[in-house]
Amino acid sequence: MTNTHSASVSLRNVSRTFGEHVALHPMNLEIPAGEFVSLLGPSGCGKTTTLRIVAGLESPDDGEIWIGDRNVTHISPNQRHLGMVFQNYALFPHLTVSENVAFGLQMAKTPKAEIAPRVSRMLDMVHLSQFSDRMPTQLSGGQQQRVALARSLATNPNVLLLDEPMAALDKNLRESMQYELRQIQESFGTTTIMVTHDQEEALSLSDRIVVMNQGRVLQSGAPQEIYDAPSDRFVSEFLGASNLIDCRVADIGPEGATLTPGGDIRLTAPARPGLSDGATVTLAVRPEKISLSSDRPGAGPALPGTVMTHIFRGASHAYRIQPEGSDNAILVYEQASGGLGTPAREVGSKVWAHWSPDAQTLL
Amino acid sequence: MTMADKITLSPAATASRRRKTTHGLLGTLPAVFFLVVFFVLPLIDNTFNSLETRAEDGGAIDNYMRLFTDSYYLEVILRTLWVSFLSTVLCIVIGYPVAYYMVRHVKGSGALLIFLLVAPLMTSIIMRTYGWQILLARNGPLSDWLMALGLIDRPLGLLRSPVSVYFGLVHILAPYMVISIASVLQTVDRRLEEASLVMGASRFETFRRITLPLSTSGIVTGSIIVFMLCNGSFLTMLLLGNGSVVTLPLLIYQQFVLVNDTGFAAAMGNVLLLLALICLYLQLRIVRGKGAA
Amino acid sequence: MPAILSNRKRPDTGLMVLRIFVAAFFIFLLAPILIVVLYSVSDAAYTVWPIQDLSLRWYERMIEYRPFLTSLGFSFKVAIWAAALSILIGVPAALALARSRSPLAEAVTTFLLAPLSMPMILLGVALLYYFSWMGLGVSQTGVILSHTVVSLPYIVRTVAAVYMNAGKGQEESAAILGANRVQVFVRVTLPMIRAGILAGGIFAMLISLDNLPISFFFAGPDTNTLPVVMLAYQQNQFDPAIAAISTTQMVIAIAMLLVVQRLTGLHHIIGQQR
Repeated sequence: MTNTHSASVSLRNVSRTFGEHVALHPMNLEIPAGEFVSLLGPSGCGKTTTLRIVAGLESPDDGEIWIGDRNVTHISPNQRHLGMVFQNYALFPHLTVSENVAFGLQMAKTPKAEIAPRVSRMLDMVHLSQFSDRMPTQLSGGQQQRVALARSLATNPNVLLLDEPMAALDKNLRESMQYELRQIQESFGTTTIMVTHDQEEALSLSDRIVVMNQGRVLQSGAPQEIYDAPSDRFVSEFLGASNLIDCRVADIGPEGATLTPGGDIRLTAPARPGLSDGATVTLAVRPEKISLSSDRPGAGPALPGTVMTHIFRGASHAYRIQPEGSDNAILVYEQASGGLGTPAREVGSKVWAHWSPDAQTLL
Repeated sequence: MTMADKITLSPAATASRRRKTTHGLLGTLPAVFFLVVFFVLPLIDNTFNSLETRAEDGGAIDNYMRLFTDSYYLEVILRTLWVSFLSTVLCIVIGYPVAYYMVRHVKGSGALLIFLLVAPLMTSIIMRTYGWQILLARNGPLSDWLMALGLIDRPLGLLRSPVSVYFGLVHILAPYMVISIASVLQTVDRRLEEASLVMGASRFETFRRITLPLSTSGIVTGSIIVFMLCNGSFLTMLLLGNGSVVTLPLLIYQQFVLVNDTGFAAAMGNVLLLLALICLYLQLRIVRGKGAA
Repeated sequence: MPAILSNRKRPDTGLMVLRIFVAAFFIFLLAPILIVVLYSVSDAAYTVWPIQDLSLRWYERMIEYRPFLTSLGFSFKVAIWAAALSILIGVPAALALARSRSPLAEAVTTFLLAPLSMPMILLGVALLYYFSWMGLGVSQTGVILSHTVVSLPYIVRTVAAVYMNAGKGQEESAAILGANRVQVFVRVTLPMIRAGILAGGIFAMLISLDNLPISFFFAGPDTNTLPVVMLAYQQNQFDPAIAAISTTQMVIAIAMLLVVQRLTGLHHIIGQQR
């Protein structure tokens, strides 16, 4: 079922304002054919505007949109050959499930004899064959979502657009749908752009994540790359829990910079250009990358502190540690391995929080 | 946006933007044109009519002078407002408990009660006044039952009295009040009332301090509708009041049927129009206020 | 907590009083209507209480008395024409207003709904003189156009509400699936607002059928609507034929109302009752 129509998408200097409000600063984005890209950010960050501009539902103030080798900037949505799944699915309430899926094929003037088998193949793919004559309102949320997906892929579109496709589903269903969506997308090979504010969804589905805020692209890269090496404070905080430790640069030596978060504590980090004595920097460390020990560890960055609170989270323990000489508490996730093997650390006990130098990012 | 950015806007994009704002309302043109010709112009024409007097040497505003200086007509205007005010108060007092019951105590969709509430709106006004004429007649069912219960000892002569007019008005208008209040009450979260009870407020206090303040907007919109409709009604006064309650619309009717003084009828119509416009203005202010909140 | 629970077990006097009040209200609301239905099948020549014998003679009288049936026919003609004209000009307006982002939209909406807020008697007087001035005077066209002024707001309001509820998603989906503007309108928009058009149309017809304050001013040999004839009959005759025709009219109206309820649910109409 591989989609031979799959095309690249290119946004060149695209911008959009609504009255006084700048929804999108001039933006460039290249998406190779077949890639699954997520636009991730909080509401109002411009991700939906970007998607709607690609769809042709909004026109940009400036810039060009290319799909494959075609400039579609001034082409109306019905001429762009796209598929789109809307947040609330936008199924046609007056048409049956199979009529919904057939709609795009009818618009494309597909011969009648080809439509029926194509529709039933699409419904098979999303496991809804037995519901073909139902009305959309008679389906559950998850089923409606799959109809919307089948409808959008039935015409073998150049590009599949997903606008918060999982937002209306409950948590369990969302996870199973994520696998199904990824599997279907891979088998079709259709270039896909998904808008989401859910970082887990973006991390688990995409080939590439584009993090946006306030109408600008902050960082673009593979999920692992973005998670491990966030480029700035916003990205680091938006993608999962993160400890941001504000430090002052105490000294820059040959083996790296010496930072102090306060008191007598010294941390080291590789120096980077533009770093100067006395400057304020932020060190980002993920909670699951920090280990705790009762005694001072040998090498690597370490902070002494006191356990303030403890929460058992099933697979791990979460501790809030108050480092000495610093105001900001840090969060630590420690694996709860071996059943009764690892007893929880007591609240009030003194510990050392330490991590490998690779685990930290200097922002 | 800087000047340079503005210049680089592609022509097609600006054109499509301009198209959106003007072209967006193009579809309303036929309807707007129709109402200008058959709604606005007739009202303007009516204003011209109101400036014509029967007396040959009459001045342009004679009709209005007569309306606002003659104590009889002044009384009619004030009575019109008073009848509308009293009907509105009666509708609130009667309608609120009904709306409250329908929203808070009816299980399911309450489709039957809604139907019973709306069905009378679908019957002709002739039927309703005829019904009241039968019910309120001197030897009619109401007198009969009240005497049987021993509440009164001789037949009531309610018909052709102001009381029967209020019966008729409240009967017509109360459903509008119930609907307005119920639609607002529906949006008041029941848990707010429960929270108040849990915090120790009595049911009366909960009603007075939580439910009532949160449903005021329903009372206000309902009141404007009822007041406005009441200001314009004359059939109830004509058929049930028999001259015992003379209001502006009834006077217009009489001027038209009996006296045929069209200029004066037009002037009275304009006074009614002014009242209607004030109500409309208040209604819009409230709707907009709600939108802002 | 215990206070609330114990409340529930004791007979709730407050709720009892409320129930009785609501029951009394609905009796008040329905009594004058039911009594007319009752009298429509009475045998007496005038409204004497209590009713002695039952008969259908007033329904026979209704059928024999020509003006009732001719005016009923004319009323329907007016209602249908007014609703059709309102749909013709009101639907495009509703569609434009529901989606417009123009700052003018609110003002236009207010204007299109304004006839609802005007005293009907004023509209009647003003339209009569206006049409006379235009040379239309007391004519069937005059009645139909006057009723259209009042029907139009109902169409605009109902269709705009249904269209706004429908959201843009379906139309955008259709466009992305390759439908052009005409195809989007015919295959998606129209089916979605069809129920609204029908409900608004029927509602506008009901309002027109029951209109007296405007129709009254246009009374003439071939422009008498049913309510006008009923008013004249009620003022001049005292027999319960008026009860029979009232009941007939009510049955027609309720049947139409049930159709509306089937189509959209009554909440829809009520929710927007001005």
